[in-house]
Amino acid sequence: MGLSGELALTLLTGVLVLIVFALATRFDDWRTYTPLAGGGALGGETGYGHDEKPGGIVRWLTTVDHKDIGILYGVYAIVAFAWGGLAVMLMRFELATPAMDVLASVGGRAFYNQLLTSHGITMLFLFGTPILAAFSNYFIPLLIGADDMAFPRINAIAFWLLPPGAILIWAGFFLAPFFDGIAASMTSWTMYPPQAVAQTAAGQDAMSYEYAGRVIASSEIDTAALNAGTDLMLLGLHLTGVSATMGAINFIATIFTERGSDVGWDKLDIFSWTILTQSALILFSFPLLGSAIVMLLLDRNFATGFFAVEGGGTILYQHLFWFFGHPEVYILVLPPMGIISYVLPRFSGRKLFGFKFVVYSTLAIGVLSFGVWAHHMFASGIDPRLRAGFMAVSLAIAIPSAVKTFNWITTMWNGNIRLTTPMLFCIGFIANFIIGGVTGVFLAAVPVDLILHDTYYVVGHFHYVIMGAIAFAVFAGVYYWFPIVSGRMYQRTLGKAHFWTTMVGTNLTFFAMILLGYGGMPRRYATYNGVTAEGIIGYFTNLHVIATVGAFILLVGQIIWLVNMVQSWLEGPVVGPDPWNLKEDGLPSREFDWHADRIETTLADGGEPAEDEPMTDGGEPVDADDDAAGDE
Amino acid sequence: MIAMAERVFTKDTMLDLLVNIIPLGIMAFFIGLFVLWGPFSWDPLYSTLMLGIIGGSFLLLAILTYISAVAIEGDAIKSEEAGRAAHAEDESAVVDTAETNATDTPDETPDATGDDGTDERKDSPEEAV
Ligand code: HEM
Ligand SMILES: [Cu+2]
Repeated sequence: MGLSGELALTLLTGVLVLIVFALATRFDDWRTYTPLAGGGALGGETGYGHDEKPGGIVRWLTTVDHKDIGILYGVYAIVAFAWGGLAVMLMRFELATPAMDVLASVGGRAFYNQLLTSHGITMLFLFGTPILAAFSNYFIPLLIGADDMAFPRINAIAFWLLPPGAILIWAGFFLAPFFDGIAASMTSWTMYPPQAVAQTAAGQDAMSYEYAGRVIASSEIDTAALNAGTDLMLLGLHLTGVSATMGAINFIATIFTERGSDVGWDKLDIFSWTILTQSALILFSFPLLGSAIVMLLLDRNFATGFFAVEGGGTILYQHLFWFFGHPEVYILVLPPMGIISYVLPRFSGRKLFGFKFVVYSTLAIGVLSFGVWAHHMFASGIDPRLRAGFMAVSLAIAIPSAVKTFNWITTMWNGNIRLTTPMLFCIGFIANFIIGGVTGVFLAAVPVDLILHDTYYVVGHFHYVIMGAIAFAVFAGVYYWFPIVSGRMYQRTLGKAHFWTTMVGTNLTFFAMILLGYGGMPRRYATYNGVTAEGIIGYFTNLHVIATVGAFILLVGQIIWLVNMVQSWLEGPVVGPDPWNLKEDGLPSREFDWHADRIETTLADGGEPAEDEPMTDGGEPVDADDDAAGDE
Repeated sequence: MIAMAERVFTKDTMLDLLVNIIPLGIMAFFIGLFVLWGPFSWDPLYSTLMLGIIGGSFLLLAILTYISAVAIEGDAIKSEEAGRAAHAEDESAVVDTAETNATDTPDETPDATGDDGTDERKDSPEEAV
């Protein structure tokens, strides 16, 4: 009965979904029910004219304009980046010495674990996904010739779910001073049970109790002792997941239905392709995270047994989490790859080599990323046959990533390279991505992983990708599009200083981590005295000091960046219609055409004329007659 | 449909698809390896799962590659034909269809991707004739 009953239920649910879908499609005019969607706008300006918007803070609270929402995402992500960055600086200073000292007075190991958890979750969910949404919201409609997103209001809702999400995720830190039983979560970003199900605010295990001086393990969780900070974090995480899913649906709808009639699938730009693939990955993977989180919450608060050993077991959680978790890393890396593929050719003086290769390999990565998740579980004792299967797919997925690298290098080959700040970040991306990718392929081989799993090698691997590549692409995009978003040019000397500090800092920090991993230093520890035989502690200390110095250089670089952005936004020189001289190289792009149009419109409206001083970051001065090209 | 597929999967397209055919080959190789030379004994559950995960990924990738190739190359053929028609009769035939295009007329936006290096043939209808 049990099995056939379940089958019948599943079928019934499927039929229901189909019925709902069929009903929904019968409203053939359904799009008109989303007020303000599409239509309406005339001429060059997408969406709504600036003059129609209310002024001041009300504008930002009520906006449904994709460009404004993009800026909101960006500001939000930068705040999160600062939070995550400051958290990790404290951790790095602690790790510069083997013993517990820097953090000793503020909570010691427990506080270190809180910082670690907050750093990981903040960087992945509050910085990574939102900063990419900043780019996609602002530029996808411009790139595909749409008036706005398909559902502008859903777009706004998706963004506004994020601030409460962040507050909940960080709530443990804010509430800890006032409540005894609440502390910031200490689960690490992976939130593995049983720890995530049974941790107290002091970092103890709520499944054990002390009796006559001995610790006794129990199968019951003392729910009253659990850390409510973890529950708040899980709820916040759920909100960000809902937000990401809504955004993804919106992008899929926009790219499928709102493309300009001259933008066929063969003409879709590479950034839109990566966002489309990313959105599909979000759509299929975030629901898994959502359900895993709900099950954790139920296990914690209602004594269900989803991940209890006598229930579904802890490995069940790992499968659910990594079915989301691996696609998540590609959710984070695909759009940056798109940015690089888009920006790099424009400073190489030629078109992207093998455009179609890059498109097809993006799609291949999208599909294959769902067949590799258990490479994060090689050391968990799963069946060796399973490991072999996942190893095979993990090796296959390395090909499309490598193909892109070759395409970028070939694009630059014999090109007319202009070392502007965005271009420097593109080149830095490639260099770092090679190290990050190659270390990943090593980890995908079962025997290698069994040695290196849970060491700093893994930390080095993914930071080469996440910091060395993803963040670099983000910076490349920020500098490249800064003239469009702000109408001004940044200070190029500060931009270059930012690049070099970031490049040097990244490699100092994360290469040291790779060596630490080879030495056997385990990850997620606040201290390392006595971890291994005496001789190696000096080796560990030296490398940790190097990593800390690198992190400090990174911090300095990011401060330079922030100063540059704020100062240039307020008083940077106003740019002309083609700040990068793209026309000259025959590499125009839609969003800069739009930018030129906007400048023209503003001028016609009697706005202040742009200073006729062409700004480019190419090093060489540009002749003034370049501007004329934009007015033809 | 079949005629369309024939026109889509030309030698050039297959070359573009090579990036996806290689991972397909790798997965096929591993399936063969594990079936013929499996290092582990056969287990009805785990061996099936092992082959299933590779085979499933193989299938999904093959299907998506097929669909996307038809979508991309199909649109390329369409716009090529439209371009040829426009050329034969009147430039404006294409331009007029632009309803949502907000920024520019198509002929002024040279190649929306601005990126396409491999496929010059798509951009020059004269050549394709
Ligand atoms: C392309 C962008 C990539 C990103 C953003 C990325 C990110 C990550 C992250 C965050 C982790 C650590 C998860 C944890 O906390 O335990 C990780 C681990 C891992 N990555 Fe990557 N990765 C990337 C590429 C690759 C590639 C191309 C491969 C190999 C095909 C790979 C193989 C692995 C493996 C096997 C592990 C598990 C290591 C272990 O825990 O023992 N990664 N990666
Ligand atoms: Cu992975």
